[in-house]
Order: sequence, then structure tokens, then C-alpha cells
Amino acid sequence: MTAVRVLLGLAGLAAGIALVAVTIHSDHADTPVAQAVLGLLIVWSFVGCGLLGWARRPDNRVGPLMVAVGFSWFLSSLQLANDPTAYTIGLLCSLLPLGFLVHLVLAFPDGRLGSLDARIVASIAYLTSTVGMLGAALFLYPEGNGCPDCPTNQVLVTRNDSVADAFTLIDNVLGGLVALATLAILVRRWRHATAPQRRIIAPVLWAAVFAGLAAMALFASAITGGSEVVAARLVTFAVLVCIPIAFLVGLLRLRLTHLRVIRLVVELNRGQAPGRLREALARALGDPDLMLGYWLPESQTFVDIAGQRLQLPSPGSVRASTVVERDGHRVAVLVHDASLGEQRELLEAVGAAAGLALENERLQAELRAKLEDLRASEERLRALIDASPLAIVETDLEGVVQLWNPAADDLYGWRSEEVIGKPLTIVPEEAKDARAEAVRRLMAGEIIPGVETKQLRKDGSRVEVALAAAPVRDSSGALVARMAISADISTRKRAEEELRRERDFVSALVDMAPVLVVAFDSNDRLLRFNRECERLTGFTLEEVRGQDFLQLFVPEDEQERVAEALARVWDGDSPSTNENHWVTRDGRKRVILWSNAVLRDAEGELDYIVSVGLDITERKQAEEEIRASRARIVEAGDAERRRLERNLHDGAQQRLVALALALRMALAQIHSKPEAATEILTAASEELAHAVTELRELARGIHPAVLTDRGLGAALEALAGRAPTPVDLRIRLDERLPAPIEAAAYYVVSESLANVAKYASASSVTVTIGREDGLALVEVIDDGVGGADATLGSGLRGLADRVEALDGRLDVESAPGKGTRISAAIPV
Amino acid sequence: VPTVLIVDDHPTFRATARALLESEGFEVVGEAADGATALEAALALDPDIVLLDVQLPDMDGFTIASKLTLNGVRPAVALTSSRDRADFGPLVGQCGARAFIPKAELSGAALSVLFPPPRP
Repeated sequence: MTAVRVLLGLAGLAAGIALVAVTIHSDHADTPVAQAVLGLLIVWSFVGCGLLGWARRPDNRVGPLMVAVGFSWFLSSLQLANDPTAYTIGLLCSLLPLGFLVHLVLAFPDGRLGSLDARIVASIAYLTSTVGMLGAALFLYPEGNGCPDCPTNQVLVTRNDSVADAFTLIDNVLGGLVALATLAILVRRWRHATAPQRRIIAPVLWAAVFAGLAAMALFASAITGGSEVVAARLVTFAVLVCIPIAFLVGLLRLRLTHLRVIRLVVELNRGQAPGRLREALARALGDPDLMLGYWLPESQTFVDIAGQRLQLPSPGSVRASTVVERDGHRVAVLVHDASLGEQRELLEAVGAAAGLALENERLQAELRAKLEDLRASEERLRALIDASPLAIVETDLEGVVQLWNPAADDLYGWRSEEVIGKPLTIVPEEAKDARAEAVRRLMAGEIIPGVETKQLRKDGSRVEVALAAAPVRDSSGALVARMAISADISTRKRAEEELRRERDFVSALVDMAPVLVVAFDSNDRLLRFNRECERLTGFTLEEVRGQDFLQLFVPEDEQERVAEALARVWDGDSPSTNENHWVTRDGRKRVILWSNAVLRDAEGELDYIVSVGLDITERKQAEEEIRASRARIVEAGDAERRRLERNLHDGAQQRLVALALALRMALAQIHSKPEAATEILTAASEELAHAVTELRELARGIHPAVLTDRGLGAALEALAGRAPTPVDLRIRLDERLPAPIEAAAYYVVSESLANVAKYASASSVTVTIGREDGLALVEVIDDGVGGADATLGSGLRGLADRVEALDGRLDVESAPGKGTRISAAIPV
Repeated sequence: VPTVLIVDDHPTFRATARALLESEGFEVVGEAADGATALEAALALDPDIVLLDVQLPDMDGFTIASKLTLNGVRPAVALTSSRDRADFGPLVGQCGARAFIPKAELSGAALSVLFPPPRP
């Protein structure tokens, strides 16, 4: 490309010289010298400046466009040539510079037309300068149209002055309009430009504006055809020269910005107050709104000088960002006006110049960001400590309180301002040793993860706490303080204690109660089995736990019935009772009355059945015994009545019947056989005496009258008097006993004496009656053969029933050969 | 002279009854103290009348009366007891006995009702 530009440069030089030669020698130029000088300046300045810009920005069309303007100007100047061919080429190209100029001005500074109207205006300019001019040239006959000295138009088709004039008019009008539209677009661009943009476009723009105005005047004068067209042309040419000059000024300005960079470097080397770097860079870049961002590698973000995160502009906005790197590492970002992108060298130069300073500030920003983080973290920690429901207390190595949070106020009753800076007051006397040990461990660097202890409140009361403590170290790792966190567990402790006591109570109750307590799950597996169960069954809890109690204890023929009863309990018939047998380890069958209740867990799911059982075997037996005893008493009464009836029938009645018959016989024979009658009556009298005796005995047997009338003592004396065996009667009574007890005692003695007489072959009997400890005591002791059995003799059984009916007890001791002792004790 | 067999376990009554009936013209042909003896004696002696006590040690008078009157008109059975007739209810009427005489009311006249036996 450079070779092309060198060739173009040489061509430009040649074109300038050729232009001067053609113009000076022209026989139809109005002002050959002025036109030659101005033309030379225009060609050389445009080609020169264009090549310069082209070299700086090879990808920017501004340079080539300027070169094109320069060469097209040379071509348009050929219309001053005397040679007809050169003249014709000049004629055809006479408006060509207009197209390139309009394109150049509208495409400045970035080489692109951009907006649609700019493109339309440029297109019209090109059309006018090519097609429009060609149209006019085809019909122009210059020799006959105000230019008698002009050479022949080589492309003349036919002389038609009106068509040629019309084309010229159209071209001039369009040229004027294009100039006007270009002006309007430029003015609009100026108004919308930012300060740095204005600074860049100002010289070229203003030159173009003047050129535009001059061009409008030129076209206007061409249209009117006045003599001022010559002056207008010269002015326009002169103004056109300003454009490349303005371009040069722009380049010079760039040089000036480089001077600013140099000044910046000097300024930076002098040292900067923190934060002034931005101002220096803003000055250097000419962008007062410049923002600096510093790279934080840790968080991969840019932050401003205060450490706050910086938002980078999105592509296409009026701000743009340029990352500054140093030694291949990101250092900072410049957020600047988007137009500064045109001055990449400047940005890079500024960035490079400020790299070290930016690195320094970056480090400062990083530090500030870290400090910011630290401050936020500290604030969070502070909030946490203040809001903590746990008491947090920090003490220094001397035990002086450094930190005391609101929860500690609540727990200990001290306010933070009362305790901070003072020795710790919450350790009770009895915990001093434990605390000393804890402090020793902390100082050894240990963390105390959690102990339960008592602490002292302001009012002197103790509070149960769970306490955790840790040593606090500074950045060098040295111990500087101790921190303790405590939670009030008094309530929990109390609840636990209560629960434990309740559990102990229940356990004691369950184990001590003289009832059976079992618990089992829905599969009848035993869960609990109290001491009474162990005592009754002979199994231990360890042996039966988890076993099916139905299989284990309930007799096979009852299992189904019990299972049904339990199914009803599970179904909600709770509490309920059932009675069944349990078979013990040694095979005894016990009758148990059970009360069953379902205990449910918190979710309402069935959990287990608790059954409380009472061993009612003895009670059942006692009931059975009472029933039997009642039956025996009734039976004894019946038997007694049968005996009485029999005795009456067989004894006194028979005697009285015989007596009646005897009396009738005596009556019948009293006159006929007086001796026989006397004999009969004598026998009858004896029979009557027997009958009376028998009736008396009988009446006494039913109930002894003397017992009713004279009491037990007299009755027993009468009994003893009638007994065949000598009786030693010992009666120790101060007053009479209640009638039922007297009767029972009487019959015990009378039956015993009757038995002695019948079976004992005794030589003597001792009868003792007394009263002692609320009991009436009766004792009959003989020295006979013994061997009597209370269960065999119906007489003794009857006596036992009679005594037991009064809640008393009858005992018989009658070892063979050792005599018999019958004793009764009846509660009075 | 009508012949009588006295059946009773009380000897006093047997002796008194024999004396009473003989004094009133009956011929007492035998005495028995229990049911078995009574049945043997009735078979052997063929008395006209059996004076039969209701309560006997081995069997009661109704059973004996049924057996005695099972196959014919002889003998006429007169039940006697120291108890009242009402004590025994319908038993007296169903056992084949011809009369019930309370012991205290025993007399020849009371037995005469049964004798002579109705002629066939």
C-alpha cells in the first residue's frame, strides 16, 4: 500500500504542475494565475493531506476520498486546456470534485456516511457530477455559448443550447441543493456531538461549512449567469483549500493530545494525591466525565476508587470502555466518551502512561473494597451478636469484659454499660475452680464445645446455662481474648428433672404396685413386664421381652377369646376389662382380671396396649368357699330339721300313739277285765314318762333354754354336768357375749363334748372360754385318742361353717395319740 | 274270723295293735318289721288284711301295697301312719291300698270296713 501511496504522491505532484501549466497557458481562463495557484494548492493539499491520513488510518476512507478530491480537481481543471480532448475530459469531469467533496465531508471523520439522508445527498452529488454533467456536455457548444475561445467539445452530439442550458441549470440547482443539504447535515451533527467529538470534527466541519456556503454562492451565481461567478469561483476555491488545512489542524491537534499525554506522564511522575488520577486522565483525554474502574481479580469485577462496584457501559451507548493492561494483567478500565474510540492511540498512550499510577490506585481500591467487605462483615457480625438469643460475652486476657450483647443483659440482669471494662461478675463461687480450668484450656488454645454449668445473675440467683467458649486470636495468631456463648437451660433442666422424676415415679409405681402391669404391641409382643409379673410368672423381663405373651402365658383354650378381646381394645373399646388365666413357669394356673387401655403416640397412631392385672385366684377360691359354706349351712339346717322330725316321729310320737291305743283298750276293758285294764294303764303311765323325757331332750337339742335365759356360763355348766366325761370348765368372761357368738361357742363345746363322749375315750376334758384382743376364744382340749379331722366329720365341718359365718376361725389339732384340741376365735 | 298281718318297724306299735285287734275279734296271723319280711309273710300267711305302716326301713308302704295288690283282690291293704293322710297326697289312692287309718285312730271298727271283702 505504501508503494501505491508513494506513486499517488508523485502523481499528485505531477498533476499539480500539469494543472499550473494548463491553466497558465489557457486561452479561455478568466483569471489564469489565481486559478493556477489555487488549483495547485487544492490538488497538492488534498492529495498530500489525503495520503497522510490514508497512511495513519489505512482502514478509513477519509484519506482516499481526499486523494480522490485532489485528482478529480486536476481532471476538472483540464477544461481550461486548449487541446480539445483535454478540454472535453475537463468538461466531463468539471463537477466530479463536488461528488467526492460531499462524500468526504459527510463521511468525516470515521469514513462512513452513516445516516440515510447523508447517503441520499452523497448519491445525488455523485449523480449530478457524472450523469448530470454528461447530459449537459452532450449538447454543449461552448464556442457559441459565452466561450468563443473554448476548444471544440469532442462529445458534442448536436448543438442544442436550450437542452444544454437546461442540463446546466439542473446541475447548478442540484449542486446548490446538495451544498445546502450537506450544510444542514453538518449543523445537525455539530449539535448532537459530544465535546470530544466536536473537538475532532470542528476544523474540518467549519471549513466544509464555509466551502458549502461558497459553493452555494457559486452555483447561485452560475444560475443567474452574472459576472460575479468568477469571484465566487475564486472564493470557493480558496475556501476549499481550507479543508485539507483543517484536516492538518486536526492532525496537529492529535499531536497536541500527545503533548497532553506527555504532560500527564510528567504530572503522574510528580506524584498524585489519591483520587486525583481521574482528573488528570480526564484532562488528558479531554473527557470531563471520564470514570475509572479498578480490576479486582478476586471478585473478577471493576470497582471505583471508593471500592464500589462499577457498571460497564453496554455496547452502542454514548459511553465506551477501554481496558488498561499492564504486563499482560488487567489493571483498570476507562469509561469514556464513545468518540474517544477514534483516538485509540491516545487512549492506549494515556492508559500506558497511567498504568503504574492505575496499578497503584487499583491496589488502593482493592484495599478499600476489602475494607468495605470487612466493614460489612463486621456489621453483619455485630447485627448477629445483637440479635442473638444466646448470651455472648467477650473478655480480654485479664478477664475484663470487652463485649456484652443484649441477650446477656437478659440472661444475667446486668446491662452492658455496667459490665464492659470491668471484671466478669457472673461466675459463682462454687464454679470458680471449673472456670479456672476452662480458662486454662482456652489459653492453651482449646475450644470448649459445650458444658452445662451454673452462672450468677445480678440479683444473686443462679442460672443454669449451656456454655461454649473459644479463644480469640489476632491476625498474628496471638491469643487476645476469650469469647463465651451461653444459653439459658434452666427451663429445659427443670423440665428434664420433672420428666425424670415423673418417670422414676411411674417406674417405681409400676414395679411396686401389687398388680400386674404389661405393655405389648399390636403383634402381642411384650414391651413391659413389671416386678409383680416376674414374681407371679417366674419369668424375668429379659426372658419375655419381645415375645408373644398369648403363646407364653394364656392357656391354649383361652387364647382365641383373649385375642378377640384385645382386638376390640385396638378397635377403640378402651379402657376395657377381661378375665383369663395365666399359666406360670411352674405350671400353676392363676386367674387374672385385666384392665386394658390403648396408649397412642403423638400422631394418633396406635402404639401399644397397657394392661393392668389383678391376680384374683384367691378371691375366686374364697368366693367359692363362701358359696360352699353357705350351701353346707343350709344343708346342716335341713339335716337338723330332718333329725328333729325323725326324732319326734320315732320317739315321742310313737309313744303317744301307743299311749292313745293303750288308753282306748284300757277304757274298753275297765269293767270287763279290771286287772287287765290296770296293767295296761300302768304300762301307759311309764310310756308317758318316757315320752316326756324324750320331748325334753329334744327341746334342749333345738336350743338350750338356759343359754338364752342365764347365759353361756350357766349353759356350759349344765352341759358339763350331763357329760359322761369329767369336764374342767374355765369361764373367763366379765359380761355376756352377743347372742350369735354365745350360741356358736355353746355348740362348739356341746359338739366337741359329744365327740369326746363318742370317739375320744378321754379321761378328762378342759373347756376354756375367754375374750382377748376383740376375739371370743373357745377351747376344748381332751386327753383322748386324737385323730379327728375337721374335713371329714360333718359335725366339725358344720361347726367351722357356723364359726366362719361370724368371720371367725375354727382350728382342730388332733394328732393320733395326742388328744384333740378344738379352738375357735370369733371377732366380737 | 278275719286274719291280719301287721307290718311296722316299731315293736311298741305292733304289740299295741295286736292287743287291740285281738281284743276286738281279729286274728293276727303275723307281724313284720320291714318290707321284705312283709312280702314273704303275706305270701306265706295269705292274710285277709295287711295293716301296713307307710315308713319302713327298707322300702315304703306304697311300694309294698302295690306289690301285694298287683295280681288279685287279696289281701286288703290298710295303710297306717302316725302322720296325716294329707301328708302323702295322691300316693295313698294310687298304690292299691283300700284304706288309710291314722295310727291313733286304729280300731276294729276301722278295719271292719274292709271285711268281709266284697264277694266277687
